[in-house]
Amino acid sequence: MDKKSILVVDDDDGVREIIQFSLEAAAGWTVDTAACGQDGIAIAKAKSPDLILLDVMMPGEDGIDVFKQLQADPVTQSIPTIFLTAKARMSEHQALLQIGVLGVITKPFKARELTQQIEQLLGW
Amino acid sequence: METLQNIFSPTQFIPHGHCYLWQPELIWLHLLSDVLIAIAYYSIPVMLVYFVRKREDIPFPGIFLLFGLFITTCGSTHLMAVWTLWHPAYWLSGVLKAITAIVSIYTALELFPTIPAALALPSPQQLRKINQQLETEIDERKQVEAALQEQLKSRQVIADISTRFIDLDAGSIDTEINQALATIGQLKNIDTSYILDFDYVNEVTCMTHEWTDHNVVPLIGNVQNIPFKNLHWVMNPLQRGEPIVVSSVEQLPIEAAGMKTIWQRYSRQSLVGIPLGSEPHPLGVVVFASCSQEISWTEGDIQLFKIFAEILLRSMQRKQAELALRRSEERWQLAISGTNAGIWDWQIDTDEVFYSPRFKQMLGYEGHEFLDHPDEWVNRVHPDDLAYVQSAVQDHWDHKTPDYKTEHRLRCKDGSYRWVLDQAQVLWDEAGTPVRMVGSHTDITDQKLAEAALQKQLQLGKIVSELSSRFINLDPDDTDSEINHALQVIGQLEAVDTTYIFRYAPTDTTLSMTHEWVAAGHTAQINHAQNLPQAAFPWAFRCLFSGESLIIADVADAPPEATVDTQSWQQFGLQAILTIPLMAKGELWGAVGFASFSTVSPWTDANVQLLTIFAEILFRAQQRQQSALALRRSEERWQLALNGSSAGIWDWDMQTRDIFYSPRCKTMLGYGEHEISNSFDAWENRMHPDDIVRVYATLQDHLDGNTPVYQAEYRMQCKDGSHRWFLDSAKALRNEAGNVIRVTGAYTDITERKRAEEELKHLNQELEARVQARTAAFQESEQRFRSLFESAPDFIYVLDHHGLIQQVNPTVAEQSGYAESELLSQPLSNFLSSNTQATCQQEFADLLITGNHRQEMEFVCKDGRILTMDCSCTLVKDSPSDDYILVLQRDVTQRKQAEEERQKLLVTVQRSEQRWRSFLDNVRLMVVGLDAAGAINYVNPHFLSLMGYRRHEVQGENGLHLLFPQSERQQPQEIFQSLLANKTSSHHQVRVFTCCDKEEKIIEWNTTVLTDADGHSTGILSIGEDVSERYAIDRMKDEFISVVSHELRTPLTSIHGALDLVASGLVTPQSDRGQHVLTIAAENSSRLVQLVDDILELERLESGKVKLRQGAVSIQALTRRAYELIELMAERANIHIELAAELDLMIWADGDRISQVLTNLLSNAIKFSEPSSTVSVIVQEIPIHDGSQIQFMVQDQGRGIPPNKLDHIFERFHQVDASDSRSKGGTGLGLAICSSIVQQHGGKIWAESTLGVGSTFFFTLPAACQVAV
Repeated sequence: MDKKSILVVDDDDGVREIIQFSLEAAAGWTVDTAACGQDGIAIAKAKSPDLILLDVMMPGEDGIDVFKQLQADPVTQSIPTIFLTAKARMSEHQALLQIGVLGVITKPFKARELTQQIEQLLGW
Repeated sequence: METLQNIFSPTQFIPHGHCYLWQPELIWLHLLSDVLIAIAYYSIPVMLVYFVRKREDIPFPGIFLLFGLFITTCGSTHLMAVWTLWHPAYWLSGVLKAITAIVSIYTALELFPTIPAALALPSPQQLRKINQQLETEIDERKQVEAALQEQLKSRQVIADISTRFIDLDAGSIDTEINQALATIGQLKNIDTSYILDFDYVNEVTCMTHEWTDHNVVPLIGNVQNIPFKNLHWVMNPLQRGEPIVVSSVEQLPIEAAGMKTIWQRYSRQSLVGIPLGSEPHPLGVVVFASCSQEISWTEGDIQLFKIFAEILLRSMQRKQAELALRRSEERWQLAISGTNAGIWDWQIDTDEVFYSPRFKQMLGYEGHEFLDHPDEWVNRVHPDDLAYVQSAVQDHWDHKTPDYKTEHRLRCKDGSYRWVLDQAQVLWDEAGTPVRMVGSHTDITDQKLAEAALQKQLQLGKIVSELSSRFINLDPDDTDSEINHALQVIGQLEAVDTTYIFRYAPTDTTLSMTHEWVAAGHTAQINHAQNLPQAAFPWAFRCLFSGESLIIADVADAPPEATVDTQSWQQFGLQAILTIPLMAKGELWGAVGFASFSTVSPWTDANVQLLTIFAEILFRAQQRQQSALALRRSEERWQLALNGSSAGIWDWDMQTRDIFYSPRCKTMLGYGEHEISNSFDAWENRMHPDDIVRVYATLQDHLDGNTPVYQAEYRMQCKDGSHRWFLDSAKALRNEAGNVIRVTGAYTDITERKRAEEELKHLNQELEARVQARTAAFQESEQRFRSLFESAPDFIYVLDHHGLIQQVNPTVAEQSGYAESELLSQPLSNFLSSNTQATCQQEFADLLITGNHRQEMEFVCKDGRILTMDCSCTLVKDSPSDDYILVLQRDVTQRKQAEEERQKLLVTVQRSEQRWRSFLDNVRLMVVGLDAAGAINYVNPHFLSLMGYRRHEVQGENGLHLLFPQSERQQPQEIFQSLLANKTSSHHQVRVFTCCDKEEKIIEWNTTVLTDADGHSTGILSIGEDVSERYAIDRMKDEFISVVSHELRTPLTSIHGALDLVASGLVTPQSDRGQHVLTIAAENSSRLVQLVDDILELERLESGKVKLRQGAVSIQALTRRAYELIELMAERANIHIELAAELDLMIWADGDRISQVLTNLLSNAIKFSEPSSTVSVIVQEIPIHDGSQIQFMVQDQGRGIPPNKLDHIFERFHQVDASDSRSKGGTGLGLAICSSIVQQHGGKIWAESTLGVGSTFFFTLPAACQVAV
């Protein structure tokens, strides 16, 4: 298995770091992080990661805006994206899935579960 | 002579040549020079004069002339100098010089004042300049003139166009608009002009009219359904009612790039668009464009276009208005076509009448054949009815009658008349002038015809019996006049032009008219109608011979076999014929008939029937007359016989008892002279035994002297055994003693007379029997009528012409409780209720004139019950002196009651309808009704106010189109269809958009399907509640929960993830990373605790669970405490805090809470300030209208808050930037808590901010809390 590269976009420093540590420790993936949408888009363009984990509720541009921009750019539109959200309701999940993301993962999560969910969604 | 010589050649001096010593050279020099000077000097004036003459415009011509004179005199002095060479004429030369001197001095003097004037003359440059100026002015003037011309032309065109649009019918408007577009286009020399129509429902525009110059391609087919959003650069100003003026499409600004592209695609170079109508919804725009060149539009152009647009708008609005009017008219049409009565509506002021199609149809007219004018009706009223109808109208106008109601005849298209019941009511204006009269026409012809037929039947019966009785026992001499009279009666009754009788002569098979009656105005035919041969009427004769009647409604349309007859009839001028043969013993005897000269006449069975009866009567009368005449003739013959001694004579000698029988006596009995003896016995034996006693008695009477003459009729037996009748008359001769001595008599055979008499008697009997039979039939009919009269359920009265009751049927007595005797000879009006009496008496007078009347009246029974009667009265004219009135009353009380009940029910329904209507009008729910096609047929006011429409904008529009934009129509459409199909109710929530600002509303609809009596869906009624606000609140709640969830889950995610990493062994706690994740967990734990605390605190504050512990607190102490709490944080952040709370006041407040507020605000200020900046706290006492309040201000020099966020910062979790809050360790609830605390103190909190300068947070505590130290 190749060493996957993941981009984590989340405005919360703690959450971002925890996800980074979890993915590195549990799956050995390479993790890049960004604290806002614009940084995330820049990194995605530059590095073409295998997966983008994108927080939905962010100040300024939210995850949905960022995803649309990624979709609009031919360089980034094929990168699989998974939303991270603190919203727990199924209806909210459905609304997010309709936008076209690969999956939605609800906060909080355990490290292994997170990697398993990702692997499952992407078929790695 | 000598003197003259002395002057010209004096001798006293030496010639001047001597001075030159006659040296030829010198002499020549002077001579030549002087001569040349003289020549030059003389030629100059000539030229000067010539110049002055030619240029009369040159100023100062006098000077030039003076110059000329002066030069001429100078020239002369030089000539003189030549002369004096030889002739010493020095005096002359001196005089000449003196003249020259005078002239030159004068010239010099004249020149002196002229110089300044000459200097003032313009220089050529100046002149050129003036010239140019003039030219420019001329050009300008020309331009102005051209502009004026053009303006005049424009005005003319506009005037033309507006004139053309006046009184234009809706159908021609489009053509006229196209024409006008072309006119304006050609006038302004542009390439195209067109109109775009705005469809606000679908938000698209379409080109509706276009004119293009011949070299420009028309676009009308392409420019359809262009969405507004593509045109927003022009749509915005147009919707504000502003014109679009583009002189150069090429140079349009960048924001109009979209429009530029569109215009360039259609090669527009310059254009002007004028909105049709004002904001917010102009109907469209009219555009004038140039494709070939750029045009800088002038104010005049725009003005012209605006005027033109105004005209267009008016015409388009008029078109719309006319269409609306047409729709309303259609509804009215629908209403009037629903009734069987014809409706008319007379606008009295304009004298226009609207006649409903049914009205015209009743008379057999098509719509356009009947104009909207009262004369159309007046001219068709039957002439006999007109006066009565007009007076009825007038009476109603004069308020004499509560309503107008007449029965009259109206002429139909085919010329026939129909009876109508005409009922109407006038509408008066406030001044009492009739303005409008609306009425209905009911066709009552059938009813009238039935009435008339009944009348006629009665009349007929009467006439028949009258004629029959008149012909009985009529003197034969009077028969003819009686027949003539009868012909007249019948003729008038049947309203024919002539009645006649023909007698058939079998000898020469001809018909001759014997009796005739002709209506006034027609010529009698009897003289021409004699011995009419069969050859002239072959078909008629054939019919009559076989006993058939001739029934010919129209001679021109007679059967083909009657061609010859037709020609003969036409010679008599006949149009219609009805003739019945009179047959005697199977043979044609004659004929009786009716005919018309003036009109064709469809003969009815009634005509034929009457004529048949009449024919029979006539025939009998004729036959009787003939018999009577025959009798008379036989009597005459007998007289003749008697006189001519053709009678048998007898002479009885009483003394001898012998009787002489003349031979005639014997031959009359068939005997010879000697076959009978001259004895009494011989006579007696032959006498009919039945007659003997009577004859003897008569004879004895005479012999006894009782009778002057003996006369007896008796039968004698003839030789052949037969009996013959004889009239025997005799006279006795007496002697002086008075004893009879002899009797002489004569007898005549009267057998023939007897037979005639017998026959006559028989005929009489027969006639009488027939009359009796006829009378019996009549009586039977009378009986039938009587029984009808007796048993009819209706009240029937016969009144005399004073209105007194003459006869009543038993029903009246039975039902009213009055005895017949109580009713008879009383006026009918006595039995009517007081409110009917007056009208009844009034109507009675009319009845006597019109002959008919119908009205409703109230009959009061003996026991006081009131019966409502539908009363119809007919004046029956039996004979002029013997009119009576037949009154038929039908009890309609029950019908009335039913009607009243229905009325009551109607009122109840109306009330319920009113309640429902008032509910609909006032309820705060939207109510909208759609028909099965989806068109709106009802909306309530709340719907209109909520959706921002006016009623006329929605009525009849498609409800789904109105409420939903195209993209969202499908779901409501499906719901609508399924409702109609399943006839169920539904409850659903949908988004709709209001009229103008397209505001979105969430409406909860309850919809019910409406069905007709047969259960078919006729539409739906939807009641909608505006739940937008509730919906918004729900959404806010959801959002809030979502935010709280997010805010709680975010730190939890870190804690959970960090602990999981350690717990699962993925990170060892001792490692640097382990330490780091544990720090993350710890930090987020405290953040979570803080968050939960804040949420709970806020909840407690807002739910009022926290009681303020208020007391007197020093403001200085408060600010100081807050400062101390925040001091460390400020120092760390390197922020200077400035306290400007000089007020030494005590306030009544919860010190902890207020200091919490201050701390919170200060901590925010510190967080969002750059290092080294200052945060100030200022406390002021602000006077307000009823005291003062304390105002706290916390001012920072941070980056400021955007204006759109200022309103929200005091809401929960609404930080300007959430990440800021989190990165600065906030929870997003601090300001919400502050706000809550201040509000609980009765104060106010707000913020002001300038981006990049800083923010100031204010809060006030009201004076009520303030306590002076």
